[in-house]
Amino acid sequence: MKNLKLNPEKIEVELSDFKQKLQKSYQALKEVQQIDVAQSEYEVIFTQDKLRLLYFPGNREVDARCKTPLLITYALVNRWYMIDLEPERSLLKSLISSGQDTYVIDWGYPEAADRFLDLDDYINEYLNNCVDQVTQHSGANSINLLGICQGGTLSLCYSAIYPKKIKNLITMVTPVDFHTPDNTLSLLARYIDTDLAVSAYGNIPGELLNDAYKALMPMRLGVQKSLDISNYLDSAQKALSFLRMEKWIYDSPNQAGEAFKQFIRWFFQENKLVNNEIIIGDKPVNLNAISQPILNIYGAYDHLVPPSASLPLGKLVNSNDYQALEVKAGHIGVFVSTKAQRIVPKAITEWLMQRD
Amino acid sequence: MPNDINEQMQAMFRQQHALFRQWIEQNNASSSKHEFFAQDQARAAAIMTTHATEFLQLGTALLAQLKSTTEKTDLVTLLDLFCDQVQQKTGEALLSQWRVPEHLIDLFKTHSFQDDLFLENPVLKSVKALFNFPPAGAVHQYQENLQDGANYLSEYQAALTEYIDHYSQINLEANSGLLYELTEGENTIDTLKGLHDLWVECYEKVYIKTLHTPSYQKSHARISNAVMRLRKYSYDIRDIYFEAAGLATRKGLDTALERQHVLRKQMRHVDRRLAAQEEDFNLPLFEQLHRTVISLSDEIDHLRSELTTLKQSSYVSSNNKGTMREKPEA
Repeated sequence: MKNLKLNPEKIEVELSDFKQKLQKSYQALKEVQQIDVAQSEYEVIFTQDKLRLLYFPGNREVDARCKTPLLITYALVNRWYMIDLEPERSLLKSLISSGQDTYVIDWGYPEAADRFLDLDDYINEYLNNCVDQVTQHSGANSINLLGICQGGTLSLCYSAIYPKKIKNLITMVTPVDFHTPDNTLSLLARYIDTDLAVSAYGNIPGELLNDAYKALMPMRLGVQKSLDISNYLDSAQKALSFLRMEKWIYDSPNQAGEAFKQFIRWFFQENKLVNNEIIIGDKPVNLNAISQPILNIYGAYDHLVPPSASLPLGKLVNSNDYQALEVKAGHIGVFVSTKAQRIVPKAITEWLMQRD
Repeated sequence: MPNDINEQMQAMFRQQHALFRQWIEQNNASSSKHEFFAQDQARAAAIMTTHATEFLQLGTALLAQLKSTTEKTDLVTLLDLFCDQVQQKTGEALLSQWRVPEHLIDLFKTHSFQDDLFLENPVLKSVKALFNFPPAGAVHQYQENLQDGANYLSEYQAALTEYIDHYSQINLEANSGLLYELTEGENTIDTLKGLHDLWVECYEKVYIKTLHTPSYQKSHARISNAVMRLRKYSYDIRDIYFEAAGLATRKGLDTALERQHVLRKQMRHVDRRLAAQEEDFNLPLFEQLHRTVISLSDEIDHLRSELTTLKQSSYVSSNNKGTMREKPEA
């Protein structure tokens, strides 16, 4: 083993350093007073069951503002405040600062009574009502829709069913083709008995989904992550950033059983979206019906939604104005990395302004 | 670093780990905003501490061997020590992830069932436990339930064994990869962290390769489905007893919720249809009114023009008459 050169003195120093860093990390964690996320101010303009529609007015002092309102729909499986995790890393804050009137759907936390909510409820009822509310509240004839991850997939379904209501569509880290070879999440879900899952759990616990995400890189997200923590928790500010992210990771709502079952079966297992075989309620989803301008933003290193799962969108829609934007980041990095913060909000704002 | 200092250090981390665990448990019991915040911190600290303690334990053991003057330091032995520990960790993680549903464990606990013996011979133990059930319902139904339970447990054990086999293979290949990198690779490893990182890299490489095989995907689904089936079974059994005692069952609640959901959907459809009909109804009325106004307006215009014509003709005629009726000469 010519490459293994463990030296007792060096290891002794390493262990001692590690211990000091740990102590410093504990101290930094203890100094954090409050883990405040989602700090942008908003007004709740509509509620239905657990859903809330949040309105974030754009900065009125900006001269050239996008007049069409923007509705952001996040995934059901995580909380929306990833886009407003902290002021220094907030896609939402950047959009508001650019003058964009922005609305965000907060899907809430499904409870036992919501077990039978299905995709028809989420798309034809909740999302459709939110779009109507935004139209009414803003006085616009149509809206710009931005869907994130699973929320992007739902936005695609919605735009295909109600094309006249959407002016421009932006998808971010959105899976479209669920059967590309490197879609590991899909591989793990392929043979799961979804009927059994719902009859065993009712609503699917958020912790189970977290376990599934961890199972994609078990050691990197387990041993390595925890040993690396002490390397960067050397101040209260860094500890706060870390805790905000941890809070978001573990804040996983349970999934309404029926909607979860349909999503796993139709999208992950049967890959129906790319074949235009999905019917939501009584409405068929034909991606060809989408002719609006589309901006498709994806992460080059996304292990949850690999680029190969997002990029087929361009060939499946009927838009003459389709653009794909690659961000050199992972699934979450697209929203919070320093590089992404410089690129993504600006790209969205400019793209929307050009089509306003 | 003398051994007593190492021990003190590890004792300190164990103590801290226990403290954070206690912190989490305390906060789980309450729900105030402040305590939820503390729970986030405690969780982060606990994650950090768990692996840190193991890292230090391993480091100390390796250090002791490296510094040993009496024994010849054998790097292969050190590596074995390292690999054994990381394998143990993956094994523990597996058993924790795919443990028998808590309800079923509770079920067995009520029948003096030893959890730690559970994996030794689950089929025999479970059948024994299930036979201790006070019967509820018809005899044949009771026997069918027993049979089902035994089958599900048997399937669970087979699925877990198959799944663990995959992980043994992953560990084996990861260790081979590690050995290869340490002998034939390009990078020198001179720190414990470096060794950990290299192992993680080797493990993830093998893991992702395995994950792409249909046999692993099926095995993963098999253990997932087996655990879910056991969970559902435990609820079904509970329902039988609840029903016998005249209590509300999970199945009954689900039926009620499903009906309520169907009704809600129907109501929405009716609402939408009514709104659409109202729109359809209002539209012709408006159009009719609009047409009537236009027609009335046309009629008025027509009348006006007729009136004007009449006025003009009347004026002409009166003029003519006037001419005709010239004042007679006096």
